[in-house]
Amino acid sequence: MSSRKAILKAIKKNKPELSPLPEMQTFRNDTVDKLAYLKEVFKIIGGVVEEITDTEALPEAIKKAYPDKENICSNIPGFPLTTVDLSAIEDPHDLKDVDLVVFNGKFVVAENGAVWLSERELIHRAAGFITQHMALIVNRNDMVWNMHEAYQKMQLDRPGYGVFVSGPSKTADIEQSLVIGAHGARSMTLYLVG
Amino acid sequence: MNHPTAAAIFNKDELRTEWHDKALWYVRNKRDLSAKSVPEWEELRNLAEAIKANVLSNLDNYLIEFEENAQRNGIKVHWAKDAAEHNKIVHGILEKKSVKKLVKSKSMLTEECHLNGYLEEQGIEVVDTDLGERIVQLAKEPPSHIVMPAIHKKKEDIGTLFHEKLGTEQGASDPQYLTEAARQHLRVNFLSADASLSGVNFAIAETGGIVVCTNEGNADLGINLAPVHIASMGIEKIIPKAEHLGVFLRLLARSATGQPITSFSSHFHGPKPGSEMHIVIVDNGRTEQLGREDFRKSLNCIRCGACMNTCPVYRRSGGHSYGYTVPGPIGSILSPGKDLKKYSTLPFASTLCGSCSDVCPVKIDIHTQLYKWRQIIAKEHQLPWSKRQAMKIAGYMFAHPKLYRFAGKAGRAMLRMMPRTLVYGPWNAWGKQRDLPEPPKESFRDWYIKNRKK
Ligand code: SF4
Repeated sequence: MSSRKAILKAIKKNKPELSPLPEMQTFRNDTVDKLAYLKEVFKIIGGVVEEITDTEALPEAIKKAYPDKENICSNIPGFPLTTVDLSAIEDPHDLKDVDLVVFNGKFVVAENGAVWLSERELIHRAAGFITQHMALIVNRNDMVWNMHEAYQKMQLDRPGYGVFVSGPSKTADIEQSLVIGAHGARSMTLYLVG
Repeated sequence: MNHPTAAAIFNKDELRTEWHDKALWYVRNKRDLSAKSVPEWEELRNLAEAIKANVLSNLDNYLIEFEENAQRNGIKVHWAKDAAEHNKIVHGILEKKSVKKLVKSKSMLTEECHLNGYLEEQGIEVVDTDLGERIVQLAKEPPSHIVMPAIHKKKEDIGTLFHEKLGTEQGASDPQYLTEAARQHLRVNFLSADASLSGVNFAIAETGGIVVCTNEGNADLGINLAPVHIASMGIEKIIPKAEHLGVFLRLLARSATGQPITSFSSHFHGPKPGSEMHIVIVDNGRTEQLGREDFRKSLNCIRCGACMNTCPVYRRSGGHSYGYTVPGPIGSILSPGKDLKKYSTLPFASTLCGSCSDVCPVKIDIHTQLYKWRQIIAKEHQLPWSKRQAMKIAGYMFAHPKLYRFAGKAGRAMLRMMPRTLVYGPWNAWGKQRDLPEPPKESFRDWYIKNRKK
């Protein structure tokens, strides 16, 4: 008997009586000030939130926050700070010297500061991790309260990859001391526009 | 070595024990604050429990659904009945691709299967990339905690280790500096690896994809660069639908470290262009556990580590004292199912205070299961002689009230009169790190008789 068959057979024999799936809830919260909450959460997750009303002012703001960065990628067509064209790169290993990525994200979750980026936004799956710094742009109207609403908002299996990013890469593996910049981005700034 | 013996060795270094205890309690506190910030916390736990109950009751069908959808997404699915088959499958995939170097992110399952050693014997270099895992790998030790693998090490220990292995400055122990050194060292490995391997936090039947959660971003860096990705999962990692992720992702990080979510929650539904993705579904004793009515709920575990952080025994005996891949309360109810004799002391490594069950995000009745294992172990005569004798004497005393009363009186008097060195000798295990309370002048019975008359 194949292992597949053996495992399925053993489960069938040993599983308990069918227990129903519970009714799902979304725990909506219409009274919470999502923006204020998000700003507090960003302090915990080690990221920075900037509010920009005029989209035109974005490049200037990013340049000011990240001066002297040489290799900059973006998924925004014609973004003026771009120096490396992501779509022209074939092998993701060639992204190893990227200093900064500037990505339009799909939406942000207020309860935990997580920004959703799918493969469409990242162009290369590795781009959001190999970079030294990360600037994400989300329209302030694209903010949901919690993860239940977040999963209602998207199709998970297309494209084949997507990630919630909540702050920069971090670790506390040495004596519980928080260190920002473990393997991935050393900083993460979220620009809320509109 | 059994748990009491290993714990006694750990306890010899009192300062370190104290420090270990506090470090974990700090994490437990962060968990509490985080859980309290979510008004519907208990409802989330109820939902998680109910979803998991449904999963276990329909696991075969969910696995078939998952396999179908994963294959449709271009993922190759493999099945392994035990650790040996898992290791063979992984090696087979790597061999086909002539892989020389494998980068790994955290996976307790591959620890359980002892994959690293197996692959190294076949000449494949394995690099653990989670910082804590890399530390214990370099130190040639197993992880002592499932979320914080190197929590038993002080920064000075890691400084010395990195000085030897990575050439950091002698005596340097600043966490920032050491982390940066590991970052540079591991970047080289990420860029030169031919394949990556990850664990699986959740596998979604409905969509045929998996979710991997990390703070460091190491899983994604490895997987998204290397041309081959292998994900190893236990059969119990299945959840039915994408919408259920909302429940589990809200619970997991808050329970583990107190964060609202991990820095990266990555969803894989197929290989990147030009690459391969494999998923190995592993049984290794899980279907057997599913058949044990009293213990099957232990398969709910989402490996958050909260039960370890809160456990007074774990905090003061360290993860290595358990001698099993998953230590702490959850390990103590999983391990006897694997080998009752070898792990017969683990269900006793608990005060049965129940704190583990209170913090568990998927509501496993951990302390009840510990108690039930104890009964099985006692019945099968796996109890050590000293415990059996003590129980026999206690049983006799409780059955003879007069003798019990006399012994109580004598005990109280003796405790007051005897010098400290006599009371706190090596025979008094209870008094090893703490003082006995002041003995009362009279027993409750005497007090009651006197006061009832009034
Ligand atoms: S048993 Fe519960 S508390 Fe312990 S690691 Fe598993 S999920 Fe977390």
